[in-house]
Amino acid sequence: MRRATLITMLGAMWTEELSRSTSVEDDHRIAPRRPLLRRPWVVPLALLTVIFVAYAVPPYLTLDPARARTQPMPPHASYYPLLVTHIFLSSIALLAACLQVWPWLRRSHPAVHRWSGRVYVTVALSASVCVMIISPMGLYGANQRVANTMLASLWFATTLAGFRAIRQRRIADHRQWMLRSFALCFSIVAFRV
Amino acid sequence: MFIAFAVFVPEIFTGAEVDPADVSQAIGVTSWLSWVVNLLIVEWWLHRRSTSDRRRGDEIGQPSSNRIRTRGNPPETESVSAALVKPESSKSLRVPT
Repeated sequence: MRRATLITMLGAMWTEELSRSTSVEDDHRIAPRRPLLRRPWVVPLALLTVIFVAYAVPPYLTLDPARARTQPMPPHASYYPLLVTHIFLSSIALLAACLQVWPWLRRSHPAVHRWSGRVYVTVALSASVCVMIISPMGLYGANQRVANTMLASLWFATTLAGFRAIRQRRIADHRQWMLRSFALCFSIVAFRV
Repeated sequence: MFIAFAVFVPEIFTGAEVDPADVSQAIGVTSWLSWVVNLLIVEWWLHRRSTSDRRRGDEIGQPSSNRIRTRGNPPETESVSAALVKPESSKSLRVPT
C-alpha cells in the first residue's frame, strides 16, 4: 500500500514537473540565435521606418498648418493640434516598434526591450486616442472615417491587450498581441504604397 | 495609395479631369487596405509559427499543448500536495517503534 502511494506520488511529481518546465519553456521561448542575414526583414524594416519618419515629420515641426501634407484640412480648431500630436507620438511608436521586433535586442538587452516597450505602449495608446478624435472630422467620406476609426480602435485594443498580457506574465499572448499592434502601427507606412 | 489611385483614378497620373468623388473613394479604399492587409499578414505569420511549432513537437514526441493531458482524469497534484504538507509539530515525546 505504501509502495503504491509512493509510486503514485513520484509519477504525479514527475508529471507536475514536466508540465511546469514545458510551460516555462513555452512562455520564455527565446528566438533562436540566427545571423542577421537569415532575418532579412530587420534592416529593411528599420531603414523604411527611418526614411518614412524623415519624410513625414519635418513639415509639422514648424507647427504651421499651411505646411501640412494633408490639404485641405477640416475646419476644426482642434484638428491640427491633435494631428501634430498624433504624428509626433506615432513617429516615436514606429521607431520603438522597430526596436521591439528586433530579436537580438530582446535576447541580449531585455531591459532596453522593457523600457522601449513602455515608451511604445504610452505613445501608441495616446496616438490612437488622437486618431479616434480626429477621424470623424475627415474630409474624404464615410469610407475613410470608418476605416480610420476602426484602425485607431483596434490599435488601442491590441496594444492594451499586449500590455495586459505581459503584466500577467503571459509571454506568448503578449508577443501575439504586440505583433498585431505593430502591424496596425505600420499601416501608415503601407498607406503610402 | 498610389496603387488605389492607379486602379480607381488613373486620370490623376495622366492629367485628365478627376472626379473628387472617385478620389475620396480611392482614399477610403486605401485606408481600409493599409491595415487590413497588414493584419492578415500578421495572422498568417502567427498561424504559420504555431503550425510549425506543433509539427516540431510531434516530431520529437512531445504533446503539442503546453499542458499535460490527463485524459479526463483529475490531475493528481492535489493528493501529492496533501502528502507533502509538513506535519504539525507535536510536543509529545516520540516513541520509537
